[in-house]
Amino acid sequence: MSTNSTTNVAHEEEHGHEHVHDLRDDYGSKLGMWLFLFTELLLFGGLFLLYMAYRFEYFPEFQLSAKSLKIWMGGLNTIILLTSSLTMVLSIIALQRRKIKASIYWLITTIGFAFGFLVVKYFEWSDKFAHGIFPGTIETAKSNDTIV
Amino acid sequence: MSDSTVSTNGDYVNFYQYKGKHSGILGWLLSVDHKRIGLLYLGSMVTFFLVGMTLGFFMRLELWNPGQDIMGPQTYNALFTLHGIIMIFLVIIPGIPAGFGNFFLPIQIGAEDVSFPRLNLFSWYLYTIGGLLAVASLFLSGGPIDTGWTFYAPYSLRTGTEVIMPLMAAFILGFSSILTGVNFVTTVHRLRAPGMTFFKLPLFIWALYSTAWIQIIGTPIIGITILLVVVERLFGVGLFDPAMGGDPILFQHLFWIYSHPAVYIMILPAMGVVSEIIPTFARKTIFGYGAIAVSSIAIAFVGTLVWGHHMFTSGMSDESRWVYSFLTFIVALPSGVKIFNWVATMYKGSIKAETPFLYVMAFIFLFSIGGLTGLVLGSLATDVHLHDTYFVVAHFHYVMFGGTIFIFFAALHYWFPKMFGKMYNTKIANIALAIMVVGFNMLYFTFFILGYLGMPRRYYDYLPEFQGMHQFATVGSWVLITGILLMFINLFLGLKNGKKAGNNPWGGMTLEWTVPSPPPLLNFKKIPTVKYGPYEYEHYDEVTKNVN
Repeated sequence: MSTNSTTNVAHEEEHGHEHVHDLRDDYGSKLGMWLFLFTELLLFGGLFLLYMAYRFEYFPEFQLSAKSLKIWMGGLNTIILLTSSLTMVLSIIALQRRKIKASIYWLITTIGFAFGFLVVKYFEWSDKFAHGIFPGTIETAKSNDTIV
Repeated sequence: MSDSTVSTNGDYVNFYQYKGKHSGILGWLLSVDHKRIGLLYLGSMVTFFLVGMTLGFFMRLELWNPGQDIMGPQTYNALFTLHGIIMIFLVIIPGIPAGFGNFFLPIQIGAEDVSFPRLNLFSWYLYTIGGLLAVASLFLSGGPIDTGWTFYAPYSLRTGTEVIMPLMAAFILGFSSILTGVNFVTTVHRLRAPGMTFFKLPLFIWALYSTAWIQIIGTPIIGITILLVVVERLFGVGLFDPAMGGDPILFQHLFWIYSHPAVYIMILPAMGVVSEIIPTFARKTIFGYGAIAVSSIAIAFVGTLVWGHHMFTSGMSDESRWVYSFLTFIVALPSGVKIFNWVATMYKGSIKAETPFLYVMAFIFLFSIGGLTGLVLGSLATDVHLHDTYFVVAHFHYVMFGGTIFIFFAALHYWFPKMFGKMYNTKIANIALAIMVVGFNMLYFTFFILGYLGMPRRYYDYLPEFQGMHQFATVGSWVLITGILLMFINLFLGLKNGKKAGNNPWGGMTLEWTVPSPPPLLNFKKIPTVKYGPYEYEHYDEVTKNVN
């Protein structure tokens, strides 16, 4: 999948072929993929923008509610997320080296981490729900007392 | 698009005749040929345009007398909302780039297709699904959406009408737009023919390239904003609802961060088409090629910084208001560069005043009015008086309709012979244009005066003293619709019975005029090597020597 294998159809002299798809342009495919990832960045950028604005507007409330966080749960999930990114990339590398078995192994590991993430989330959120903190409750909207 | 459009030009098979894996309707719905996909888009857009036009027609009828004529306020609110959603998200935003861009971008840069043909077809499916969802939301039990096409919070959070489905439609349409943008940027970077350097690209390509970047940068923001409104309606998170500590102004910011650049998604491709048509009919190289190309990029860039001018009366700080006002005036510069360069191109040209050229003249006239009244709205003091009046409605119809849609029509007439290999009746096309221009000005110029006198937008009712002008405008809408229908009928008859057009009826120099009409499946027998700029008419004979 190196860029050396790039073929640009524009430089082909003859084309007596019938299909539109015998063009293979790995560099172009990567360019397109990165552009798309860039749009994802902007999509979530909107969320970060909101987070920033509200953190600025409700600074004391953010600080107060941070104290009620179970840091080890969030920390564990961060580790799980980052590690599963690693195992996903390892799977791709294995595929590039044509080690199909290893690739599948890493893929399964990644999926395993995904479920692990959900399990942690289950406990984290059950805890919050038990305190009446979830979208749309009056507790969430009106005061910080219940959050503490 | 029926079989009757097929013409045999001796020794080649054009893309209509080409027998792919599928035939009949599936040959269209499963085709990854950029030309077929372009025509699919054009067909869908013309259909949606006629739907949106019909909604507008009924809105004008309702305004014949003060008070209720044919519909109540709720129906009127739904009509202007859907008119806006259909015309903006389904016709104007995808119009020129997805329709004509798909058909002509690969040909104009000397490529066989776009970089990702399958993704291209997928984008059309997303577009269609989005369009159908938007129309289907009319018939849900809650009743059609009545928020206006801007979906402002907190009303969009509280109205009892069906908001979620049209929002999802807009979200899906956004993804269609993003994927087309990704496709076009990659294609322009990777598939240019040998010798086709960036500064030999036709100006239509420069415009599409700038547009594609705005689609990539801007559209995701509206995507997340729309999703957040949906989440808020479903779960009551309180992001934009002031009753729960949310900030509705934040919604407006997020909405306009995309939707103002989207204005340039709408107009830049139209400007690109103008830059194609004027040199062809003036038989002269374009004045200031570099300036026009760079001004597209400049508009794309500055256009991302001016969204706040939609919110002058929303309660922003004075500092941000004058900064946004200042930036807004800056956008007028690159637009002015274009207008002056077009006019300078015509100076001492040997002008053939044929149909597409006349459409462009109408555009320059209408767009100049639209652009200059934009400055009236861009300055703070006048905007406070004119905000949310018919003046604004008139302004954006001059820009969007008089600008983009008139150029959409011009492009239809310019590339019709290339797309279908046939010619329409140019005399009737010119008459239709004259009728449209008269009707257009009767309808929308009256809006300027009404707005100046204080007629607020989005009301189904009005004070009795406005009746004369409202009736004049409504008559104008009938004239306008007559012109539009005459134009479409004429094109349809040209499609059915038109004479063979020949490969280069207008004497164009860009690559699409060097291939047969309609083009063969992969566009070129042999990928050309480009030696000259796109409008260097001193080399006309050499470039077009193989065109019969």
